[in-house]
Amino acid sequence: MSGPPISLADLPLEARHIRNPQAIHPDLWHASGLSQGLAQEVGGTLQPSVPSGHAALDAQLPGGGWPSGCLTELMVRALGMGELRLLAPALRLLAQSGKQILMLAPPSMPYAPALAALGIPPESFLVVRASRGADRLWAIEQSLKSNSFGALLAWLDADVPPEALRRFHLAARQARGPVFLFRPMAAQNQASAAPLRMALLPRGYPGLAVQILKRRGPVSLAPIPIAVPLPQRAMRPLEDRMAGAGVPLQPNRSAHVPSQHTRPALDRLPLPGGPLPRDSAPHPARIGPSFTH
Amino acid sequence: MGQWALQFTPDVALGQHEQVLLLEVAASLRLWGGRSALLNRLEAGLASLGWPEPPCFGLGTTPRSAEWRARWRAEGPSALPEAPSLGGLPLRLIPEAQPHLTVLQGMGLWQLQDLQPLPRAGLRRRLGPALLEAIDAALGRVPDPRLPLQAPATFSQSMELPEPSAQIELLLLGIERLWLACQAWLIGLQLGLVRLRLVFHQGRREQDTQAVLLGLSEPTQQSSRVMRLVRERLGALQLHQAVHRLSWEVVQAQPWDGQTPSLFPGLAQAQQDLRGLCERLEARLGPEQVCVLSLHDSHCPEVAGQMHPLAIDRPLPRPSPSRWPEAFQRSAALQPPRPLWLLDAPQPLRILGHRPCLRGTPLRLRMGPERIESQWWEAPLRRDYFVAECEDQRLVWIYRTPEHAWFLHGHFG
Repeated sequence: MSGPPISLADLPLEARHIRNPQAIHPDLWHASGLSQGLAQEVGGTLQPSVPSGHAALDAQLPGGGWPSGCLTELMVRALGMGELRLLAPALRLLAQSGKQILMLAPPSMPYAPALAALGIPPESFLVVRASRGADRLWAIEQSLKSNSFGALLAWLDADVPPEALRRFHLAARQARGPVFLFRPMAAQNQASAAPLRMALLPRGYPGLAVQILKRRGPVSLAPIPIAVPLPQRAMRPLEDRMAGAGVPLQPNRSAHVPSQHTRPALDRLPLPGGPLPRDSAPHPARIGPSFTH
Repeated sequence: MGQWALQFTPDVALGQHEQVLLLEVAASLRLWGGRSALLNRLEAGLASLGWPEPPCFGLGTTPRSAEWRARWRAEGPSALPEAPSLGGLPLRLIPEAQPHLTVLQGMGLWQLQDLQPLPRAGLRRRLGPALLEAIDAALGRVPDPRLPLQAPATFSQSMELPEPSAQIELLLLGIERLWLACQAWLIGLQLGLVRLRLVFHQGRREQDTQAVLLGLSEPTQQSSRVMRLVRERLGALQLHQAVHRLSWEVVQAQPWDGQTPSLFPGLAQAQQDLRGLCERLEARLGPEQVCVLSLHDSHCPEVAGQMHPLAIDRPLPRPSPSRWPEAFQRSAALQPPRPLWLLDAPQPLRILGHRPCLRGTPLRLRMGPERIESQWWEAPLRRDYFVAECEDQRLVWIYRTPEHAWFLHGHFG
């Protein structure tokens, strides 16, 4: 076909402003906006994403939620930052639709009562322990290939070879659920094939800040503040002054009765506060068996 | 061979000639997709068992006619397996005619059709009753019952390797052949494999063996699944010496009702994939490395939430949305806070300036205390739990004993 070259100015106005470039190809999007999601391996349609449950975060994520069939790297400084509470709304959604959540090599034992309090049935978790690094990588790849999970959560060391991440990325493209890789903060300077990378920054309770390091869209500079409160509210918070001083809790070696200056603080403590008695009085129940003789 | 053929039909019998096997297939032709499909399948199956030559098939309405046709066909490639008439059959192929061959040839009788028009009484007087009875049976005039082969109740088969080897790839070839025999046995008895033992015989003494026990999460007859599991397990196996003999024993098999294919690949398919994944992970990582979480009604934190190894032949726990109404979540939310990560063993904390410290920095107590005491008939447990905040604003779960020692017990993930 020959003809005069078409310049952009010759095109009609509506063609120059393509509203939805992803209708043309799923991997195409405006550089100034967010991608609507990832293309599915089969069919070329967009993978549905799982809403993260945090509106501020959803607005910044391509596809408006945790992407399915794609690696999501979460850089965490240490255990206990609220990393699971951040994922809890999405995991709850998946578990309620009867899907299984796979945990690979978690750093500690996931505690069933806390999961239940978040509304995630503990039965929906499968925990795989793998102590050796090579086994861990193998287990992640096998799990990704089997494509039978609702969500996959895996914990990795800092020194993961980039080609392993590349393999995970290719294997994850066929997955039907989101894939979260937890990595230490040191990994954020290493190259990675994961299309979505973010660092979790601690803020004072119940806050957490999410810094998006890489996404299919414009660079995001400011960390996104998110509240991840504990689900339980029964215990009254200790007042800061008291809690910081820790005075009523110190071991009092001189007497059972706390000294004079701690007494007002003690009054404000919630039940059943106060220091435990040093020499514990006989428990009424504990002397029970002696009556039976 | 006979045992192997039981997967195609329950009626398998040995023929008169020692290399002949009789299969009654009329009832199962539809199952296997017709006559030619069944013959192709038999041929391919025999080739995979390592049979040196392709088999000669003969088809007939009676066992004898089928056997005679098969032997006739083995003579030369011209004769068709389903030749319409037995008339052209050479008499020397009939076992009952063997003692009378010279007499028959002297009379100018070479083929079956030469014999048929002759008077029966005269033939019977000259040749005895056996030949005529055999011909009657072949043509379906008299019944010809056969004793069918029975499959053994257990399966255990060994194989000598052509030469001792410690190479996994070579061993896998042998194991695959044993599996084909085992699969035929399973199909014949409509069983699914659950647990098997692979024994590797090494060295000269009978006790120089290494055994591997493999389990499947549900009964199966699927080759890909079993062989994949074996491959993973052998990948992690350290063989002491070269192996000269392999044994395959079925330790446990369960009745198998077949697979029901579903119209839409849905949750059931995902569950099945997940089982397969758990099997492979266990085969490589070790038997107790795949765990499930469980919730118990107890005040003791260690008892309330536990992690158990997944029982290999038990079904996977299935989260049922109906069991988790909103009310449960609300009531759980009224409980005191619990950490998402629990340490296996509480970790003692140092005390600095009357405050518990984690890695050298003092902790700030944020919530608490919550007294947890065990019942008197259990080991005494008396702890005051607090939620504390680290220097880097992480939340931890710590407790204090009556002796005023502090311990770290969990992280609020």
